[in-house]
Amino acid sequence: MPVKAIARTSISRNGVGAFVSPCYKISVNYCNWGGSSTGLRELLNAGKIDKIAQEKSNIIFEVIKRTGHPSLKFHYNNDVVQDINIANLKAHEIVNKLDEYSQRSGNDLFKFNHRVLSINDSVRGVWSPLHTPKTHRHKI
Amino acid sequence: MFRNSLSVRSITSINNIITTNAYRSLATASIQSNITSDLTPLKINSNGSRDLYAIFKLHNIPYLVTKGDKVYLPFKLKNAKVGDSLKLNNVTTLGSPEYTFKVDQGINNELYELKASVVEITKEPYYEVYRKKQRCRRLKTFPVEPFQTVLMINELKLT
Amino acid sequence: MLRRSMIVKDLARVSRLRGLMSIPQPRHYSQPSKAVNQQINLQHYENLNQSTSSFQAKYDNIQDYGSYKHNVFTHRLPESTASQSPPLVALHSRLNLSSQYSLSTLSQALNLNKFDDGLANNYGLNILGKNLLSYYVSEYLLVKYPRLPMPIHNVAVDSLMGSKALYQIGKIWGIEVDKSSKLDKYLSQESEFLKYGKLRYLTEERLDNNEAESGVYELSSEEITNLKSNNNTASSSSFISDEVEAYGSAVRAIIGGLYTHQGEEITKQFIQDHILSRKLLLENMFEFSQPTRELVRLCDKLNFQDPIDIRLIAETGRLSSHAIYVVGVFCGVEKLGEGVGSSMNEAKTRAVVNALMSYYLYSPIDNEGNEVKVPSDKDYKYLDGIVGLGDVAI
Repeated sequence: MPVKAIARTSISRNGVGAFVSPCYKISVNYCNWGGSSTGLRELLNAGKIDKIAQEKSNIIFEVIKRTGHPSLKFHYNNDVVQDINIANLKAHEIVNKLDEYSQRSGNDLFKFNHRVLSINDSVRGVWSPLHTPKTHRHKI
Repeated sequence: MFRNSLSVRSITSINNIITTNAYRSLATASIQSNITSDLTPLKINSNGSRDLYAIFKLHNIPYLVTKGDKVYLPFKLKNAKVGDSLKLNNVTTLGSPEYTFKVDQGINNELYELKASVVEITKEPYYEVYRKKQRCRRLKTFPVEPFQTVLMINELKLT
Repeated sequence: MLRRSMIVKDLARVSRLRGLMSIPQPRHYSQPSKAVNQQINLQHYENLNQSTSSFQAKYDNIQDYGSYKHNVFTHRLPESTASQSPPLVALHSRLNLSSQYSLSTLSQALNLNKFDDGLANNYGLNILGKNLLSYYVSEYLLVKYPRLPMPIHNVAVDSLMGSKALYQIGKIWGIEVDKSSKLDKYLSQESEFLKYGKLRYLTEERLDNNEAESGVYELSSEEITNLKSNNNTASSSSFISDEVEAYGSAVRAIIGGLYTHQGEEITKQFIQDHILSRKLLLENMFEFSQPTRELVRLCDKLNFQDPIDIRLIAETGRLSSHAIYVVGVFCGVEKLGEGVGSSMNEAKTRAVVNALMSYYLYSPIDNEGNEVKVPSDKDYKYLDGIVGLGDVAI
């Protein structure tokens, strides 16, 4: 055999071709008794969570009644679950949280000090000092 | 006649089968430059747009991209939602391994196709900035958590 | 067991919010998939199903095939039930499937259990999807990279549509595994509709003696044999667990379902968007044992008149500890490849490998400089250079 092959799995590029939203499930935990759930209960009673669920039809919404402070659990497709405490938040603040976290990818936040992140080879290649004519080369 | 540098305005909507939330910007200022050229050498040298890079401008800041690159914007792109497909129409440079086509005012939109999809709208990590005023013993603390928008370059090819 | 279930009972109250937005429309069956389901039960299904005897085929005479009857009758999930399942509706929406793609087919694609409450499984859809996938993937690779050696081509096909790649895709689609047994479901008062949108491949026995400790689970008999055979070939990294295989099967079946509902054109588009759009690491797949010899053979085969020549193009710091050599492989006046190395030998090998790679990874373009079309495209024209010359032997 002249060439042997090394198995490599291809790398997913979400957004090239199809885009699948990384957040696939949101669990809404509320308490029917505690005061910290007031905002969330308001949303639930007014049917606003239903409306949001209809808008974000690609996300599973799960409403769980549980004692304690209310929370939102965002499940992302990289096996990350983010638990967001929404105790004492007002209704519109909870809606903001829902919007914000459902647009994330579940990766850790990081500051990117460059503009473009690329997994492709450079088009032009790397500059080499040895490819100039010998008379023009830098001499030490 | 040339495109102004208000690049966010110049992002126009496209109708993609895959995108559900078709996104339309309010104003589209797509005045095209009149420079037309034959880009066949570039096309052939880039091996059918495979080895091709483009430099597009957004808010007058250049970004050098190839297909499949992620562009991290340190702000929240106006009117954009995750999953939207954007057509970037302020491209100043197209380059293959051996040729470069450069028009500072912007290359005619009909010569290339550069699309990006909004992949993520998130935030940079939280940090605090301290400011000290003269003759005041206290430090002022400012919380900083700027927005970050991630674009994925969906398509880059010469037409 | 009891204690855990009780906690679950307190916690889990799943609302049927998703069911509110179901699309109540009469859906038609996909006849082909149903037919396939009943035909192929005499074969093994990818190590996941048990022997065929569980189909309880009865016959008057073993050679009289007309008298074969199955005592197991399967049915498809009614559309009204399927539309009550939040994960199913959400998955349908995540994949941007049209309303023609019925939810019951999607649910069937996620069912690998051979006899799960009498529901039809994804056997036929899986085979259909597998064939479609392998057609479009190999067509793409053969046209885009006509000179790829066969072992590399096989690995490249695997890297796009092998179980591991499809497992990743299934994960990205947000498919969840149904991990609770019937008893757990009853105790936690879980809605029965939930499971129709989850990946079902674990048998009831395996669900019952579920993970004693998180992250530790008992291998199934198929996995054990798989593991043993892998140990013999000394490549234990190629062990594929049941879960990975199940995800792959579900993804393939979803593609098969798309074909039955919406035809070839849409399926092709879907495969291009989800599978062919992935980044292929072809450059990292080559392992040359004797690159120089291979290059010489290759040039012989291509009828190059001039002999292969390896020449030093530039060098620096020969007497220092960090020498750099730039070496080129030439055939007459043509430079075939170039390499940089810290020794002459290294640079030479790199140059030769570079020359080989640039031959193998050649990708044709048409006269106008566009990418070539694949045969399944509309106005496909045959071009020279699309059929490779075959591999060389050393």
